[in-house]
Amino acid sequence: MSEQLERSAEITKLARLLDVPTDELAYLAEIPSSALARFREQVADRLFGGDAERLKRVAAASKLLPLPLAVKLAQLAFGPLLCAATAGLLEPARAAKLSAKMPVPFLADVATMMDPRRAAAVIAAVPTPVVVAVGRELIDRGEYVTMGRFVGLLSQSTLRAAVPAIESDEALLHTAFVLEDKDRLDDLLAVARDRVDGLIRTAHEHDMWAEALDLISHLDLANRAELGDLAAAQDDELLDSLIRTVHELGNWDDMLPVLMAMSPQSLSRIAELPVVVESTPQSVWDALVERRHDMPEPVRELIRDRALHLGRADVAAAMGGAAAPSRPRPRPGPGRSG
Amino acid sequence: MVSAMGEGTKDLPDAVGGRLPDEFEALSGEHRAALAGLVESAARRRADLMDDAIDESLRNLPGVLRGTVRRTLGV
Repeated sequence: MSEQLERSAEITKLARLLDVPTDELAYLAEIPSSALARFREQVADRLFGGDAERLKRVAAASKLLPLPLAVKLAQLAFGPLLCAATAGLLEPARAAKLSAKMPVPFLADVATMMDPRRAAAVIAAVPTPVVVAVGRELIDRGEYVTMGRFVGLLSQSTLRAAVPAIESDEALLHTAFVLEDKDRLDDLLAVARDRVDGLIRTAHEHDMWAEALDLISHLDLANRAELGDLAAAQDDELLDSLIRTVHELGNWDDMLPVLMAMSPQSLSRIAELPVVVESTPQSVWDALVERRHDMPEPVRELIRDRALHLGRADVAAAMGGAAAPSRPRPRPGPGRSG
Repeated sequence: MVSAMGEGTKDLPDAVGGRLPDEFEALSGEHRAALAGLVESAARRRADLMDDAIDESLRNLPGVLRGTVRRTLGV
């Protein structure tokens, strides 16, 4: 299921790049997300790679202009598209000074038109307050795809300053879902720990469980455990909707590692939900049995007891005795830097 | 937003300027042509916007700066 969501995110990003409605690319739904990502990079290279010589001249010549004049020319003469196209060719220190003098809406226009991969050094050099202000402007415009493309290039300290500027949990969830580099999700979580409860509630209230589950599946084990425990502490209605969504999406492949990383108390709470008691699919029992050796002993014991309670003696027997190895349960550490 | 169905005069590898990921072989000829059309259309739109940006920049520029910008852009 996670793969299906990855495809959906990739198609959204490609549609944004081609400036067409997402529906117009529906026929790409069967192409794997990794292939879609490679194709999108090819398209970006085609769109952003043209005019190289002319752009190099612009960048080289702009070095000769005094800063105030360059700032004025950028806005009055070149406009956001030319600035976006040349951004990656500027010296990072010069680009940083220019950005600090330009109006935020203009910089946001530039951000939507540029290929961040071609300007990574420049983006890293932009002063944090400018990044924060532009990020806020992009969120106000609903430019989540643009935000997602930039977040992966920000340092952890800039990320720490930028995330609070995304005041809406829904916007943060949207941005995280289309994040270009989902390996940064653990870093993102490290600076948004105080938002997790709100994010969980937002996923519930805005019918975004599918997106949230996709994000959780990219986190490391300790963070999955923490999120699983926080989710399990929510009210029954929310938990019921989460598990029903997992049922409907057939998303147990992503959910099981979360369950197995939870504390036994949290797992027990999930196991007692009516939706679990009434309709745990056979595939889930099979998957639990298959992963029995990866479970900490208390979790295995709990599942064995629940299986017996639900009349699944076969599952209880297959879960085995206490001889199986147990692993220390990972716990979330302090915020990691990346 | 521009629909490019029917504009797919180039094959998809030509449109993106390289070999496609193998998985794109699974697309029908019609869909490959549609996608090639969209890429071509987006590339044309971007090139037009760049030309317009340059023209516009020269038009709006005070005369005293026009020479500098012309030299900068090589036009």
